[in-house]
Amino acid sequence: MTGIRTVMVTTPALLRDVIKQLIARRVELDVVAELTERRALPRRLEAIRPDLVIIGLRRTESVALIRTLLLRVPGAKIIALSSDGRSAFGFELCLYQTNLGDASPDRLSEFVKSRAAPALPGSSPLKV
Amino acid sequence: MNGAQKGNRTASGPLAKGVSCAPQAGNAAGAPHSLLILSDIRFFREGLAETLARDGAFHVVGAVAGVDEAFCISRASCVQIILIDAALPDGLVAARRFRDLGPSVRIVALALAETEVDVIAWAEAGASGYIPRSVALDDFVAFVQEIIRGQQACSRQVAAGLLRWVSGASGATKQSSATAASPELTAREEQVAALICAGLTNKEISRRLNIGVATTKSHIHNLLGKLALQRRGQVARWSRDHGSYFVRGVSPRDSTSSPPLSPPSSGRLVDNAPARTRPP
Repeated sequence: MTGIRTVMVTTPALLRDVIKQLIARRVELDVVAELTERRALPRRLEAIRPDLVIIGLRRTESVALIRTLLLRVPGAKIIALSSDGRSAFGFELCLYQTNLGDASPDRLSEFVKSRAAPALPGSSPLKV
Repeated sequence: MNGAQKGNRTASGPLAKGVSCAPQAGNAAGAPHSLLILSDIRFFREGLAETLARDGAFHVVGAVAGVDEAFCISRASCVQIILIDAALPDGLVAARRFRDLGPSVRIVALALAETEVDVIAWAEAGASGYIPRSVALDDFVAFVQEIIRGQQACSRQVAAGLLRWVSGASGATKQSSATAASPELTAREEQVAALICAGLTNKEISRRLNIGVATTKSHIHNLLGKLALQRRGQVARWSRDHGSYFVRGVSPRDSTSSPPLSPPSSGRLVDNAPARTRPP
């Protein structure tokens, strides 16, 4: 198996299969698990260590859940579908590097006060 | 994933935009049925279109998000099957509109939360069948083909609910001659009324129908006006007095006759798969 190790989380079968096939036709996926138990999710993901998690968010769930999951599997990407299925967001932990030049006090203090720059157009830092 | 899967992308282009050519209408010589997908969830409609186009059992004439566009395509392309996403806002209204295209067009509710209330609402709107959201994609084509043959696989709960509904409707018919003319409620108002009769709170109704609480209150306000009632508590009484007009034996809160309400049909992406039986 050389595909992207993927975990599907709690989407109805039909929607899960559609999105799985949709991505699988463009990227080689290897679905290693389909999980439904929410409470054990962080622990299960930590054990599986997937490359990709596709999760259908429930109405009451927020980005805080994604943060929890990413901290358990920092190398993974997460695609989160909104509860109505009409939109999706991608999440990943990134390492940012900022050139501080000759380490002047101003640059250092500026860096301390600033937030990391977005990595991609359309991406943005999150407050969670 | 196999090589064939990776190599074949024939469907994604034209279907994503909406329409491809529509060669035929008949199926006597084994030609594929012409099919239209109506869903405002992009990945869903485009993914399904790809899958069905690859399968070859159907000729997908379009996968669109708008009802008007779907209606135009249906009339221009002699569509035989219209799959309407059950989560589509005003999907029931759309189904009623497509029903007017004639009996040769089969309307199928797509990814339906398989509850009695929803199934009955779609049946009343003119759906020939429904595909539950719990169906695996591998079984999807077979499911649609069964519906074309006039069959419908459904859960035990839904089968029992339909029997109760028919029984209640029969009783209502007998009583209807003695009662006033039917109020002209919208499909959504009827849904809200049925859920009120089932004992749901405004919040639960909102969750169930995937609408805001304010919208729910607005529907209730309107239906109370049309029924000439003062309070929502009077709706159930009115329904009983009119031969279980809204309820017809359906009680979403009754755990013996229906799947649980939460988190289920409210959450579009929450799995809820009751036991299933197929007709012989």
